[in-house]
This record gives sequence, structure tokens and C-alpha cells, in this order.
Amino acid sequence: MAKFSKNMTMIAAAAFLLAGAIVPVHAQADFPTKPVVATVPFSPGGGNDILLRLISKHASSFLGQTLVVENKPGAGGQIGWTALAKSRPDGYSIGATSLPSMVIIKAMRPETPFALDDFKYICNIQIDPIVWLVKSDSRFKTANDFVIQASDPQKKINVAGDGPQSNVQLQHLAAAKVLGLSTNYVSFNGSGPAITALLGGQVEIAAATLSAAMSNIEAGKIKALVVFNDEPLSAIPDVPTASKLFGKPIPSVGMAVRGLAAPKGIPDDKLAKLEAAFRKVSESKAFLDEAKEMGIVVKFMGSAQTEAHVKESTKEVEALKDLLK
Amino acid sequence: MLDPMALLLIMLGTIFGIVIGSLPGLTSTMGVALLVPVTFGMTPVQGLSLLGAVYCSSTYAGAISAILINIPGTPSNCSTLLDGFPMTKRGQAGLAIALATAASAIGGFFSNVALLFMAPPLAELALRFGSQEYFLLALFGVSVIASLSERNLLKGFISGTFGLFLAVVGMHPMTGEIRFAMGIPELFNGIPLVVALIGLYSLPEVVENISGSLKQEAAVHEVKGIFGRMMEVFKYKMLMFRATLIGLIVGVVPGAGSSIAGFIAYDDAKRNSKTPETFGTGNPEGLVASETANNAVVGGSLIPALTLGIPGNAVSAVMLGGLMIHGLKPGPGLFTENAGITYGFIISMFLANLVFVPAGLAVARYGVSFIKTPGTILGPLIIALGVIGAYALNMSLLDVWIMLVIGLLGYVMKQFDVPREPLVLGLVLGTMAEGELARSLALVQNDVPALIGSMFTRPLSLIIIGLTAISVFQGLRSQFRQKKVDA
Repeated sequence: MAKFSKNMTMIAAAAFLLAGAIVPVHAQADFPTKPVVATVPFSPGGGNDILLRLISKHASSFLGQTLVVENKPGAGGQIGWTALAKSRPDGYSIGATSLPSMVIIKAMRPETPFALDDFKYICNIQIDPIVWLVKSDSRFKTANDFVIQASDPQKKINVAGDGPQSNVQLQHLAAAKVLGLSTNYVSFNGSGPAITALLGGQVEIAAATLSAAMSNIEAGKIKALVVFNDEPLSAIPDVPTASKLFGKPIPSVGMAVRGLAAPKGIPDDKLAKLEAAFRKVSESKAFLDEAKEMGIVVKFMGSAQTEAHVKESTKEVEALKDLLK
Repeated sequence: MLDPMALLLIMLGTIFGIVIGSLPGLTSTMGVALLVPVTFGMTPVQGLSLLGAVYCSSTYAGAISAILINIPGTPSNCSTLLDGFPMTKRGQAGLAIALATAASAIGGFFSNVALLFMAPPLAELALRFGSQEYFLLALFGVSVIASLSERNLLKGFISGTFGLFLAVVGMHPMTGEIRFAMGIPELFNGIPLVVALIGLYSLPEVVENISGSLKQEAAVHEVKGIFGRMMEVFKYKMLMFRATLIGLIVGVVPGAGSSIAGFIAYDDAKRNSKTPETFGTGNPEGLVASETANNAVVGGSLIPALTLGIPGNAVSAVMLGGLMIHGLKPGPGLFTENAGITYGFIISMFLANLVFVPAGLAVARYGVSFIKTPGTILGPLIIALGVIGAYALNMSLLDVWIMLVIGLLGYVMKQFDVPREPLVLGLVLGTMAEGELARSLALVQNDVPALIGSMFTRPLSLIIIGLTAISVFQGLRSQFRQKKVDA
């Protein structure tokens, strides 16, 4: 009797396992069957938040479910990314990624409880390069005007920018190092306040993300002297790229590269479904039109390419992180 | 410009905003952010009307919980409870809500007038505000502590200093060094204000109630005819005029924070009052000043957001995001190319300020019966609301612990009769004062004499210094007089 019941238990267990093995496959065939939640590790209203909300606006028809945006801000993104790393890899919990910010956090605070390989990167959607900005009537007509003035170590020029320890600051300091500038980087509470300080005449020059500067560039109040990105952008055709302008390679280490990731362990087919859905979003005309209006530069990279970018970004930040200390 | 659908959405948004605003921990920012995805299917005017209505009504509705249960529904309403709750204890909850409703509507209405007609020059003011002006503004705010300390300046001072100390927790604004955070990532950005407010105000009252040290007399709450009594607000015309101005300016200046508008207006009302000694014991003037000012912030904060693309505070940042998702670009073009949408939105804000009046008065009726609930039931309910509110902010259990620890601190303070408002002010202003001073110094590359020099040569700086000097002088004089009377 005892043996019989043991056998029965075994059979039941086997049946259960089989069922268990079958059911997910079945479910995955029509994944997703409920809304997908995307965590944004920043407060509402920021660059990542606006991008994710725009994606969510267009995602439903390609995903077959709604994409719900949830903000989990704190500690420069650390709290949201830690939560994402620890969430269940079932494809329903994904999150916004922002490079190099994720790498910088890890480099500045080694005790941070998430690792960059805790995530499986789904795709990249946006690139947001850093620009040097001046008011339209500035004495700096070109980036070279500024470089000449900023080469005097006796008289440091104030540069406003998001900080401290931000991607913008890293970009500025990396450029300053290559060009041999001595500037005084003044941290502001985001790219928006740095641009306000520029408009209000508190500083003569600011470093900021392109997306934050776009509306004031278009209004003709400020102009971008140079963009720290290797390829010219159609959004700002007149602005030269740094490497071309200065004739030496300047790493675009601070360029914000924004996409989506899932916790590692997500089944490959679910990852592929999500990647395909977001690829279609990023190719749809409605999305592209609105993104352009909002000053978002769309650059889709698939999962493999994004993974490679993370490795590259890590290497670049590691090499330059001492600039931030 | 407005279709019937937009009108309906304003009403729905108002009801939603009143619920969000009156629940502690659920802030206006959260309310607006929650509804952004809902607006995707709407026309821009419809979507923005909905978001605007939530912003207006939630800012107002924070007063309801401040008045009824002594917990500010949003940080902007912190100065409302100073006289709002004493009025409730006196059995005037209905009147207090009626006055708060009317004052909010008036403050909101006139700041909208400014948004409609004076946006460009006021946006210019926002740009004139540099780091040193922010620092001086923070100092001016600290000088209000004297006003909040009722009879004991020393205790107020201790409380304020402690608040300033608490503001130091977290990342240094210029170097990124992390201080006193004990390795807790939730504290890297400082002690969360909303969480601190919930702890500071909900726990002490409930504990006192349950331990029976506070015998609440069964006040009779008169709610009949509050619509008529709402008109009593017009007794305070000059006061509301000044409070609207204060709220408008604080709103226009990006990042100054709406909670300080209420405090500054409260202080202004007290100093200009014939009976300053009754402030803190249920003087309607304090309540009216505070509510007028914090709703005047709404229109003000949208001015730099719409004209320059620079949000005045966290809520307007989310509104701006909503605007952009609807394909509108902030900047001068908003008032020319997209004039139809922009003016439609501003008109909807006028309506929103009218719609919350009847809704708020209805709430007043039922809200008053809510507080008639016996303390043994009401107490645990308030604690539960507090815990949920603290958790909901960032969905973090750690925030609940922070709330409880600060609640304990609040209880101790209350036992020793130490006012809690200076602590709140210190917490709000400490971050601003420290960051802006550090930034001002960085901008002059640590040349201290140059910084002091420019503080006395830049007109805006000089005005703020003058206001601070007057405030400190008046505060000290009234303390001195008080001592004479006591002696």
C-alpha cells in the first residue's frame, strides 16, 4: 500500500511536471496575455519617463497588450534598477535602461546591489547625445572660440550641467581632457535647470542632453556648438560632430542610450517577442513623427547589439571614471 | 475651444483629484502621472483639460485632510493645518473647509489670469532667479520660523535646526558624497518629504488620542448653510491679494516648491494681522492665506513650463511631459502656432477652479461626519491610511519605516510642546539652502567676497535680503513684546 501510494505520488509528480512543462509553452505561444509593466527608475517628467510613455502610447497594437509605465525613482536610478534585477523573469516585468548612467552608478558605488549582467537587454530605442550650448548672442560663435578661451588655466570658465556624477559631466570632462581645457563644471539638478541658468545668464556655456535643449534650440534662444556623437544627426544638421570639428577622436561616453531590459532568465521566445514588438514600434510612422516633434532621436538596436553596447560602455566608463572623483 | 467632452473630463478629473489630494501620500504629481496614459486616446485639449483639473483639485483637496485630521494631503497644505485643525477642534470644520474651498478657488483663478495675460514677463522673472537668489530665498523662508513658533522662539529654533540637519541626509548636491544614509539607497536622495510629513502629523495625534491624554470634546459641527458662509472669505480681500501674489511668484520660480508658498503667505498674514496672537489657535486668516497661496502656485508653475519648457515644480514637469506626448512643443510657439490648444487648456483651468467648489462643499458635508467616528475606530484608520500613503509614494516598505521613525520623533516633540512646522520648513529649505549656496560658491569659484558683493548689488538679491531683515526684526520685536506681556 505504501509502495503503491509512493508510485502514485511519483506519477502525479511526473504528470504535474509534464503539465507544468506544457502549460508555459502553450502560454508563451500567446505571450503576453496580460499588461506588461515597464519600470522607469526616475520620477515622472524626465527623459526616460517621457520616452517610455511615448512607447507605451504606441505599443499596444504591436504588443497585443498595454504597456504600463510605473515610476520607481530614487538614488539616481539605483532603486528602480535593483528592483528590476530582482523581479520575476516572466516577461511581464521589464524596465527602462539608460546607459551610461547604469554603468556610472556601478562604477561610483561598487556596493550597489545590482550588476549589469543581471539584465537581459531587449533593445535600444533612443540615443541622446550631449551638446555644448550657448545663448544665441554669445561671444562664443563656434566651439573653437570656446576652446581657445577655456585653454587658459588661470581663468576657468564655468560650465553648467546636470550632476554630480552624471553622464553629462562625464562627457564634458572627457572632452575637456582630450582638448586640454581647464573649466569649472558647476552641477545643476538636471539638464533643465542647467539650461535655465544659461538662459538667465548665470553661465556662458552649458552641457546638456540634446533632448532637453531641443525646444529652446528650435525657438532660437540657444544654439548648440558641437554634438558629442560620431555620426551627424538629421535633427540638428548644422551642428558639427566633435571628432570631425576638433580633428581628434573624442569618445561619446556620455551619450544617453535609452532602451528596455528584462531581468536575466527571461525565456528566449518571450525576449524575442518583446524585441520584435518594440522594433515595430520604433519603425512605425506615428511613433517616429511624434518622437521627432519631441526632439527624441530614435536609433533602434536589437538585443544582441544592445548587449554589445553595454560592454563597450562599461569599458569606456571604467577608463574615464576617475574624472568624476 | 472646449467641447462637451472636455467639460465632462474636467468634472471627472476634479473628482479624481479630490480623492488623490485628500489622501495623504498620494500627491498631485502622482495623480497627474497616473492619468497621462489615459489621455492618449483624447484630443490634446481634452487630455490637457483632464490633467489640469487633477492638478487644480488635488492641490486644493490636500486641505481637506489637513483640516479634518491634521495631516496635510499634499506637502503644499502643511501650513493649512496650523489653523485649520484648531478650527475643527472648535467645531468649525464645515466653515474651515468652506473657507479653504473659496480661498483655493480664488487663488487658483487669479494665478490663471496671470498665466493667460502675463506669462512672458513672469517667465523673464524665473530666469533672473540665480543660485544666490535661491539661497537667499531659502534663508528668507527660515526666518518664517519665528512666526511658526507661537510663544517659544527657542523651541521653534531647535525644531527648525533639527529640520535643517535632517535635510543634510543624502547626497551632497555638488560633490555627490553620500552622508548619514547608513547605506540605505532610499535615503540617497534625502529624507522623502511626503513620507516625513505623514509620520510627523499622523502618528502623534493618534497615539495621544488612544492613550487618552487628549480628551477630545464632542464638538458640534455646524455644516448647514456653509455655501453662504463661504462668502465670508471676502472679508479677507487684501490678504488674499497678497497671498495670490506670493503663490504666483513662488510658482513661477522653478524648483522653489509649493510648500513654502503656503508658509510665506501664512507668515505674511500673521504679521499683517490685527490679532497675530490668535494664529495657531484657529484663526481663519492663516487658513485662507495658506490655501490661496498654494493654489496660486498652480498657474504660476505652468508659466515657465509653457513659455520656456522649464517646469516650475514636479507636477508641472509631468504636465509638460503630457503636453509633449500630445505633440505640443513648449516655447513661444505654443501661444502662436498651437494657440487654439494652449488657450483651450488655460480656459479649462479656469473651469477646473470653479468645478471643485461644489464638489469640495459636498465633501465637507460627508467629511465632517467622518471625523465624528469614535477615536478608537478613527485612530487605526488614520494609521492605516498613513502606512498606505507612505508605501504608495515609491512603493517602498522602507519608506513606511522612515515614516514610523519620524512619527515617533513627532510624538516626542509634541510631548515637549515643540512645534513641528519649523522642522518641516527646515527639511524643505535645508536642501535648497545647502545646494544653492554650494552652487553659488562654485559659480564664483570660491571667491567669497565676490559672492557677498554680488548679493548686495543684484537687485533681486537685495530685495530678498530686505524682506528677510524685516521679517527677522518683526519676529524678534513681537517675541520681545510677548515677554513683556507675560512678565
